[in-house]
Amino acid sequence: MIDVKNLKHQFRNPQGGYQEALKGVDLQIGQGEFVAIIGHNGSGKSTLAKHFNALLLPHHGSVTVNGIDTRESECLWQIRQKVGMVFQNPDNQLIATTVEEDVAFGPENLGIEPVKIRQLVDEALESVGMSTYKKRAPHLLSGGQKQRVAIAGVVAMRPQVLVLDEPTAMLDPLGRQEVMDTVVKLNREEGLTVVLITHFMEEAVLADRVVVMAEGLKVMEDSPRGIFSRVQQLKDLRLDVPPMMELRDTLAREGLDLPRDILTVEEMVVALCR
Amino acid sequence: MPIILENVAHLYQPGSSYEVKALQEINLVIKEGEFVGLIGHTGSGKSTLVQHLNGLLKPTKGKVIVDDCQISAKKVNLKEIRKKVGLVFQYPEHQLFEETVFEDIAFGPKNLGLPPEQIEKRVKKALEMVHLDYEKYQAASPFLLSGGEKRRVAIAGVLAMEPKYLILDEPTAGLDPRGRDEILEQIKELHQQGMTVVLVSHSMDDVARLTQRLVVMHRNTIVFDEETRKVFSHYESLQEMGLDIPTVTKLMFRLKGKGWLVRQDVLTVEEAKKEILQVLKEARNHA
Ligand SMILES: Nc1ncnc2c1ncn2[C@@H]1O[C@H](COP(=O)(O)OP(=O)(O)OP(=O)(O)O)[C@@H](O)[C@H]1O
Ligand SMILES: Nc1ncnc2c1ncn2[C@@H]1O[C@H](COP(=O)(O)OP(=O)(O)O)[C@@H](O)[C@H]1O
Ligand SMILES: [Mg+2]
Ligand SMILES: [Mg+2]
Repeated sequence: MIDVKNLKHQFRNPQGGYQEALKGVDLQIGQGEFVAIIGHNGSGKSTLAKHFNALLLPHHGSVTVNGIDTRESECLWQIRQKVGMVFQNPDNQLIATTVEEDVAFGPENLGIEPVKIRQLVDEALESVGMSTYKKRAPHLLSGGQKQRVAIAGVVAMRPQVLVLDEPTAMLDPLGRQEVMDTVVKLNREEGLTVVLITHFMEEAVLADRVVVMAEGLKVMEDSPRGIFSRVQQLKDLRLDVPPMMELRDTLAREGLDLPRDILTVEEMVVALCR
Repeated sequence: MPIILENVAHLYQPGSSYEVKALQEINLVIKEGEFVGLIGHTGSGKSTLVQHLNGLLKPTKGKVIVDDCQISAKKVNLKEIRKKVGLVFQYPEHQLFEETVFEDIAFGPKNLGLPPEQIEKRVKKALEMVHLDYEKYQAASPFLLSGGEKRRVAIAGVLAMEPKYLILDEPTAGLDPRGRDEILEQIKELHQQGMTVVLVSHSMDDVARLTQRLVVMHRNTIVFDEETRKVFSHYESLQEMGLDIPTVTKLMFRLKGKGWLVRQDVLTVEEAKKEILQVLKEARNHA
């Protein structure tokens, strides 16, 4: 689906030199997968993600989407249609005066005929659970609802990959839950490939695979259980472990015999009540 | 001297068909030296409330008093108030406007009329506090930074003012986990040195760890204002308001449901560990 080979990207810094934001990254993302990317601030996550739909182009190495090199400029719109992006701030992404107009914006830009657009918009709103809000004004929605409308705007373009760059950073717990439920559903039920960038470890746990970035390089890649059982290594990388994993670790140090990969409150209850 | 909000109400676009009632009947006293948490779901009025604390918004009704000065009055010197009350906005990108990181952080201290050496000192210290390397970042354009780096610069800009009251609206959104801990540690330290802090947060784990007192907003008014530990014992009401409780507190509620004799007002991993070991030890003694 997405194939990243030895990708490097640098930005000019004010001293006149260059800052390498990506220093040679290899990554494969398969059809239907759910991949989470975590890593410290400035590690290159957003820079990497912007290469997936040709918002940035490689300075070295390559990125291909379904075999198409993102540098082929005549394929730009095809790539942008296949790989949709959702960003952090819910307020900067919605522009129209009603929810449905907002969702229709993408398909309209692709030059799709009006009848078909109607259908795409309805289906997209249905898939994020926002159908009843279609005539509402976007700015009056809650943060979680705004993000779901933003996701619908991408889904309406029938992409194959949904890339989300910290979609829940600005949301309250309820809004975060709504958005994550939607993302998981789109992946599991509609087979959409998902790439999720996040600083919330409990969200990364939901993925099939977790990629850890540090200083412009991919430094770990494994299942969530594999990644989060490496408590010390994660802490060294400025990352965190879910609270239950941390509690497991301190209890284990007191001599309690608990499974290594406890992630949730439920799993902890089961382990303690054996 | 405290900050006092007396029966404050706020309407956006009053009188128009877009009128929004964002705050009603807010009575709140923030005493010097306190560390107060403010939680509530999106739209409950948190951001509107904190913008009243430095006069950015004026109440439609009621009074806001900062250190004896009624800042909701007509002719008040807001510049003096802003020196005292530093506010880190929810969306930091809205707070950055200068060409370089240095200029951006220096803006506040310059307005205080400090001499250049003092200003440089403050900028350096503020960047250090948010864990950004001075040499690497001072000349950078704030607009080209990563999300988390922008957030740090916005916080540094307010810290450089050395305010008496520090108000932070969701300061850790977008920070990596260690960055979140580092900045919260820094804020805790500033509090220990005497700064009064109000922290708006969606992270129950963070407010549980840091604050002594917690104010909960729901439907644009205050519904709980108590010791933090007590607030999380209202698990069911909080859930009804769409709010969570700290993960370890949730674990204690679940264990209690399974018949374990654990305290439910546990707030940190360390406290949870103690409780669990205690219960297991007693069970062993009985056996
Ligand atoms: N347009 C740009 N010009 C100059 N430097 C940039 C630009 N965009 C990013 N950078 C720099 O490149 C590095 C990587 O940035 P990136 O936005 O990819 O980080 P990130 O991992 O997404 O971080 P965060 O968790 O804070 O969002 C950072 O040091 C950042 O300052
Ligand atoms: N500039 C504004 N104009 C109109 N309504 C607003 C504005 N800012 C906030 N509101 C409304 O006021 C209420 C409280 O919002 P806010 O203070 O931002 O809540 P919170 O910070 O708790 O999410 C919400 O109904 C919101 O939609
Ligand atoms: Mg980023
Ligand atoms: Mg707010």
